[in-house]
Amino acid sequence: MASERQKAANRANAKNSTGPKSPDGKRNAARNARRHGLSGKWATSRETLEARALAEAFCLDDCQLSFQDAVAIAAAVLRLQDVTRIAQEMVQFALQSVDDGVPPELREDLARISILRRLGPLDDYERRAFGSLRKHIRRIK
Amino acid sequence: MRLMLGRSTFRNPSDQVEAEGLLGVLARELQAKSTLQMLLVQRLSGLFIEIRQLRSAVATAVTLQRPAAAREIITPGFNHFYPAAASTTQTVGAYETAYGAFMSGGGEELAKRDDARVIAEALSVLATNGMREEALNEVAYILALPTIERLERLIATKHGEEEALIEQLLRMIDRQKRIIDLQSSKELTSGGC
Repeated sequence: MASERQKAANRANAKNSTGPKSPDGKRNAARNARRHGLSGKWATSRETLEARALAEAFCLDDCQLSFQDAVAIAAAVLRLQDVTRIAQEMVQFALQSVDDGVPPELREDLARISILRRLGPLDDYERRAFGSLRKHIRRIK
Repeated sequence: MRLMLGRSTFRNPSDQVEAEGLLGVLARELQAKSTLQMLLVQRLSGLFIEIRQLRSAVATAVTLQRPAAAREIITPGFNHFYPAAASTTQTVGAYETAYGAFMSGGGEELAKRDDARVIAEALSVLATNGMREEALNEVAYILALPTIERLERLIATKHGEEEALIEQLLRMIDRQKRIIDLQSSKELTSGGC
């Protein structure tokens, strides 16, 4: 059990390490718990902006498509692209941990298998985004 | 074929090249013209690559279990008992007795033996018992089932998406044709008058 002196020293030491101070450090630490970034505020706001721009292009091609549906379709398409890109990046990152002795043709598969548990939640995002895409595409008359 | 939004989805260059090639072929075959149709075709070509990647992972999951399958063939129950070596304190009663007998009967030695040698031994055991070599892969498949199940779930999502996308694209293209036909017939009628 820690003595009173040790406890006091721990308290004093803890005061020296209370997290990042600089804006850069704070920005980095804010990403500590980030897994895929698909549910973050910044992701949704960026998607909204891009989706609106894309929706305008859809509406120029098809005058019967409502702008509201076009935005929803664009957001779903962007979300699906993000899910795939993130899954591919996760596999590439996992490749770094694959043992050098593994034959080259099996390396990527092994990396994919090693992160299967983390790919599951991405699958949920994919299902939801595709559900939304399908729903709004069906509205096109 | 240039990718819409200028984004490359696949980090592996060969997959990216293949996806772009597929995009060109599919866009031509499905006669995709509008931005939305092109984006859906791009998604479709990406799905083909992703499904292929997952199928390949299923095959690898089975390959990775071949040494474990070979050990199971040589000593039935090997994969049931051997993982317990790491947590012998949890084994109780009859299981502990059976585990002890198994280990003293050469279980530990078998675990350490070279994979290639174990596979050769298993194939010879299969041949002696009049069984095909594929039996090794079948046992490996059973051992890989927990991994395969997760992979198949991902494949099922992508297959569902693929089918629905093709259906939607064909519907959109059919609608486009009908609009063009209608417009041309109207032009013909007005020209005739």
